[in-house]
Amino acid sequence: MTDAFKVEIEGFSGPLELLCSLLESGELDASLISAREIVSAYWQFLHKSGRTSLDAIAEFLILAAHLLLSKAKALIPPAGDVETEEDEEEILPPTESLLPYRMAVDLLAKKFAERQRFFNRPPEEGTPVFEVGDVYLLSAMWWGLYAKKSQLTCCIEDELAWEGIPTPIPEEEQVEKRIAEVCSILEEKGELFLGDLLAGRRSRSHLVVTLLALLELCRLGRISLSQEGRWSDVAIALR
Amino acid sequence: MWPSPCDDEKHSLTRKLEALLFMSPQPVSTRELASFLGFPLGEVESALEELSEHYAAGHGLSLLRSAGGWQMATAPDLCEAVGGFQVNAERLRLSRAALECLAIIAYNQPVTRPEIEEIRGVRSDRVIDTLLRCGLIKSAGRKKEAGAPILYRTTSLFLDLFGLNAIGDLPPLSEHDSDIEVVKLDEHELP
Repeated sequence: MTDAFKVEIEGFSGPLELLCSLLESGELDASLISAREIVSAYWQFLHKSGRTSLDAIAEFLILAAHLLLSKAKALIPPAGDVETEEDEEEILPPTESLLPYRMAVDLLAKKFAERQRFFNRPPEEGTPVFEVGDVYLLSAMWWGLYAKKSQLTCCIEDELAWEGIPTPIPEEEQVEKRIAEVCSILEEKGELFLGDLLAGRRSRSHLVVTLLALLELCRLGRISLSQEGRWSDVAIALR
Repeated sequence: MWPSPCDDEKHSLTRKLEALLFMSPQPVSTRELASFLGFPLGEVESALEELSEHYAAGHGLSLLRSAGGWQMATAPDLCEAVGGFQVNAERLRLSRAALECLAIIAYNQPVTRPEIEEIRGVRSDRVIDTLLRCGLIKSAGRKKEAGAPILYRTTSLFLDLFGLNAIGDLPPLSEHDSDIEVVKLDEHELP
């Protein structure tokens, strides 16, 4: 049972709930906590106890999620901090092309300071809304990670992890061919879901080419993409 | 004297507007409010103006015109009291470099990173990433040229945080500022 599970790590001994509470309040530094160590300890605890319930595991997962959130917040600098090395640039005199913007910067700084004097209700987390631009960025990050992974795989053999991804980035021809296919299906059906387009062919390369084709069609204003809720299928319709 | 049915209706509209704006964490447009409440746009606009004047007369709250809509906020003269009370509230802090980058995007949108860097004269990838993370700018597709660079635009959060109703509220760029010394690149390169 989870109430008997105690975390024993350097600097803390006690129930996981208390640990999470101390991390959230900042009394303990979340960046120093090893989530893997705690999960392993819980796993061993389950093995030793020989019995558990779905409720107990669910409770542990919730607490583990809190712990991960605290750790992520501790590791990632807060959004408000825009203190970067650009500060060095500020002492440089502006170039001629930048000159007209310097007054705009002063104006923006003034308006920003004025607006900061007003407080309003903070936004609550709701259903996330994604725009096409977000997907572009996501794709860029995706390929960035893929490139890094490719560099790593030059040194380390990892056949299983990346099986199915084409070695080069999909060529334009592949995407153009997929655009034509998607348009043809849409003209026939009017509207469909991403799941329909991927049905029967679940390879990563097929998914990547399909996403790129959809993004291009979206950029050209030929289709619209929408999603009812988190994790629901993406609806595709002709514009 | 009893209020006329017309007054009752107006009073009811004002109360409803006040309640909706109190509940909303982000600015709401007049059109959205009119459409939701089923009142003509002009009547809603006029009621909002009156509500704004009402709050401006010594209340703890104020009604702002922001990012193309209306938003309820605390009165600016109470900023220290409210700021002290909201000890855990994260407030955005922007460096001059971030403001510079934002100004370039605001006046040239949609604009690419190479174009921003050409104007600034320095690499700006990190500051752009920060602005994206803060939600002050967003990508707006790709430019059709070699390398298909991402285009950036400011967001409605930018308008809200800078107290702007629309991007057109920004004044025209001034060509000259006599107080600032301009870099002469060729002079700097001299030994």
